Amino acid sequence: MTFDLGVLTAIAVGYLLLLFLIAYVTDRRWLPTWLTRNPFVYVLSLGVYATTWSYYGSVGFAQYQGLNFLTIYLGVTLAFVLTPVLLMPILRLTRTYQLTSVADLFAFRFNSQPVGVLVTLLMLAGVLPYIALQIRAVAESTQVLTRESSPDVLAFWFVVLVTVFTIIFGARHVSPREHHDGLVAAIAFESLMKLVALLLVAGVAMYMAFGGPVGMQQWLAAHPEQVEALYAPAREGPWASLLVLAFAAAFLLPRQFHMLFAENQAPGHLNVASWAFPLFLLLLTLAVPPILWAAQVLEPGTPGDYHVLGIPLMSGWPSLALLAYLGGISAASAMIVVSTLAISSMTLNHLVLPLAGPQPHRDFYGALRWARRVAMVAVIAAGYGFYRILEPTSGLVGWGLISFLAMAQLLPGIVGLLFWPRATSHGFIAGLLGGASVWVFTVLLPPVTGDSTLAWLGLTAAGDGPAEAYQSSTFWSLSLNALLFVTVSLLSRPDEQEREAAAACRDLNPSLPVGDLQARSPKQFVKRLATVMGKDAARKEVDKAVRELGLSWDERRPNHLHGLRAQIERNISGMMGPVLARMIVDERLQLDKESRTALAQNVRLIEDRLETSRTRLRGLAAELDRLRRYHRQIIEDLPLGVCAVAQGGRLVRWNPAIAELTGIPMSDVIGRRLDELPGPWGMLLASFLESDANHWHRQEIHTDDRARWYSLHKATIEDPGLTSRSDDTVLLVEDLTEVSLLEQELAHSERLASIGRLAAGVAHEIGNPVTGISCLAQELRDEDTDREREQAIAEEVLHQAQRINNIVQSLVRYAHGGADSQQPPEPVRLRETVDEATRLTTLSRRARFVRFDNDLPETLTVTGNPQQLVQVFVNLFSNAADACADHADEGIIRVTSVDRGDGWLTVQVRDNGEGIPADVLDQVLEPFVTTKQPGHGTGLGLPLVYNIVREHGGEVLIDSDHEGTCITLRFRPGEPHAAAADTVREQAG
Amino acid sequence: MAQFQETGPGGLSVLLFLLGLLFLASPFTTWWMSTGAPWYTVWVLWAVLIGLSGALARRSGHHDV
Repeated sequence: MTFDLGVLTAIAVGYLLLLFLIAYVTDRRWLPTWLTRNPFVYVLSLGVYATTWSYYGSVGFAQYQGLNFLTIYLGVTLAFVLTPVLLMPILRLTRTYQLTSVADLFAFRFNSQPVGVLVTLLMLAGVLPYIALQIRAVAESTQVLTRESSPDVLAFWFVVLVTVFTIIFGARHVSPREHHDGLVAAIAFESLMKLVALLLVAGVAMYMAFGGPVGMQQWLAAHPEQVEALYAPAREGPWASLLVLAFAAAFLLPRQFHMLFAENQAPGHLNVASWAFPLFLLLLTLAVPPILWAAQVLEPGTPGDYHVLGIPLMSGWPSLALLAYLGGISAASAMIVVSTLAISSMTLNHLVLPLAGPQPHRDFYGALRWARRVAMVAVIAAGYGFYRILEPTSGLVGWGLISFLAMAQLLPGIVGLLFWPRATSHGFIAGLLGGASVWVFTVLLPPVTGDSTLAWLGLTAAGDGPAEAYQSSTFWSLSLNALLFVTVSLLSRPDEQEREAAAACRDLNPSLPVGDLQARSPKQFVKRLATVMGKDAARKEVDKAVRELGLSWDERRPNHLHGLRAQIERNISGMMGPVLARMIVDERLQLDKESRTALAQNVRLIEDRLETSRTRLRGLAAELDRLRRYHRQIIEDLPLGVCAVAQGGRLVRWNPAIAELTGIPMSDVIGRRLDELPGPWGMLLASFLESDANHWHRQEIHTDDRARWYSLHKATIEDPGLTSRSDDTVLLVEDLTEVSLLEQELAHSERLASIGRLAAGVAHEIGNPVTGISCLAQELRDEDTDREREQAIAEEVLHQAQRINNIVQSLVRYAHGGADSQQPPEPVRLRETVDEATRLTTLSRRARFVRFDNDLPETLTVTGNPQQLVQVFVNLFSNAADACADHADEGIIRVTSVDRGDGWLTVQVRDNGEGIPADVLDQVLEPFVTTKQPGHGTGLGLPLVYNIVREHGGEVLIDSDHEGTCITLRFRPGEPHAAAADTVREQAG
Repeated sequence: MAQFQETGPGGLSVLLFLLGLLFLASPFTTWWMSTGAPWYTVWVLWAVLIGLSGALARRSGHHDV
């Protein structure tokens, strides 16, 4: 049975168009997301690993090398077993730093453009023959089915269609980091096609040759040499070397790297792939032995590499042959598409752009897209060129191994990248050049030149098969590579940026940013980046980063701008590679190295990184971290509002208590200056920070039309590394609202209690003038008075009425004193205050027989609330009068002023009463402590005196003995708040 | 203070890798290949390795990635 070339071409083209359709409907999101983003689609897409070499060549490989053919898949399995320590860290790096290819990864780690160039050249040299192998397999498979001597036409059109597919579905986005859902879906479909086709062919072959599995087992029992033929080459051949090559190829082949890391939708998918992809390979390889043994029985007349087609041809089922053929087309096209996508990205990032340099092109993205398309065409064309010129006699496996050994040269580098921070770019380059040289002279050149350099090097005996030759080449190239890598790394020193990149690769925290950015806002970012990539592209890049970080265009906070800079670098890295991205960002978004980044700001960054770091701290570091968390939690749980202000007045700490009492969440605050906070807090805290006082008491703030009171305290923070204090300050905000309200209520109660005590005296005081008025009225009624007398009586009545009015007014003012206690402070003449208090106190019966001597000068003035000060003296006089009442001598209460020349206004209230017992003297300023009989005092008088005087920035001193009590009130003239701050500081000191 | 720490997926994967090397790249490999074992022996060992990988992946899935 043969096929017509035209028909076969039409079927192949139709199949490729089906792939177009799958990719198109996926990209259009016509398929459900659960299907297109299913982890098993990702797993199947990794099946791009199985190229025509695996699909066709495995049977031929098994024919001559027995179980050695399995090493190509077992090596992959071993690599996937190490997913948590090998693949997952690479995935984390590629996702975090937007690395698109293996060249990007190494260029990022070693911070070196030459590294990127070298890896790209190695990849190109390794992959181009591999692409040629795919084209050759398509041509030869067509030849098997059509018996045509020259299937080059089909090969050419196959290449054209694959190129078009790659350009359409592989260059849709500016950045290759963007997921190509359509492409992945098409590749996954192709993997499924390969698996189904191969398993069907194996099944049919088994039934044709042996009648089923049981028949095959019987045949094997009858031919034990067949099983031995599988095992013998594995026991004696290059089993271990091939395992190493496959281990490296599993994730370092450009197509594998791209599908594993660049197209990964979620890290969890890689977890699934760690077992599901080896399972896919197991099923794929399970088909090989039955096909091999069936071919030995059926003798289809095809070379071992194409028994997969030969047996279906013998079966007489054209559909099976076509299915097997399309499986081969799938294997070839998938490999070419994905490899081209990966290689073109590397070529652009590490060969083209560094030479051309980014231009502020009018359409920056368009230029990048076209450059990527041209690179794709160039790569596939070069692969086709290899196909045309390379020696067609060697088997499929030989060409595949050329590529594998090239990738294996990156193994020492990947070990260094993940596990050895001391590795340097010089060491990597030296190792790569050494290993690649062995690869070129022992593996790459012989098929091209036809000359066996192996013999020249004396590495393998003449006449050995290619597999044995690879055993020797693998050992020597990797040994030389690793030796040079380690030696040169130890002899050279990494620079600062290389050390930082090494730390990032080890998931250690790189050094902290030093200095502020010269660009102070996202708009300035655009302006600076526009000189490299044009205004439109710069705006789009900044806008993208701003949106990804959830910032706004008005952002000014330094730490957020640092984050924005890093995000922009990552995004540009996804488009143009890490080295160019770092260069652009370093040149255009410079740091002001002169400015010192606040220690506290760094602490915040360190904390953020520790929270997000996946590195598990151990030993002392873990204990220190627990201690840090504990200390931080103390601040977080403190019922006082705490904020810390670092250099430049920027907030670096904002605990939950202050967030609650200000209503401003921490996320809106960190990194901002105090004066940028919304009112009234911004103004209050900024003013307090600038003031000389360390304490502000009872600051009244109106929020939601309600008055609240807060006390503010501050202290500078000592820099632990320096002998001097830093500029950082911690502010404490204490909410006194409830205490203030309670105090007001207490004061009012005490005032009312005082009025109650005065009631009898009031009645007496009012009674006298009323009696007088009554007598005068009787005189008017009963006696005949002349005009002059009437006038005198009227004057007397008015006088007596005025006396009553004065008493009533005094009482009213006193009773309502608390209601307007929050009125602004005003100058108060203390002599008049004492007179007013005297009038009120003498309403009391007990005080009526006490003499009051007001010796204060007329000019003695303090700033404060007059009614509250009246209450101070009323309370003091009431206590003094009570103390004098039981004394034998006449009670005398003397109010004097003392000038001690210390800037204080000192007023003394001295009585000659019985004094305060020594055992309660220290407690009389505490509430509810009284020496009076029950029912005669509340114990709130002196505490209120103390509170009011303290609010006025003063202090109260009490001295008492058996000759009387002297209470000293000290006030500062001037503004009460500043005075209060100084007072408290002195008391504290 | 010494603290017991559960072995993470990284440590287990290395143990599994060593088991894989024992199966597939050690004198034990040469031994089982020489004993006249059935042709599918290597696939069985492979399947065991995949099964253990699956269990490890299930365990890793509970960790943040």
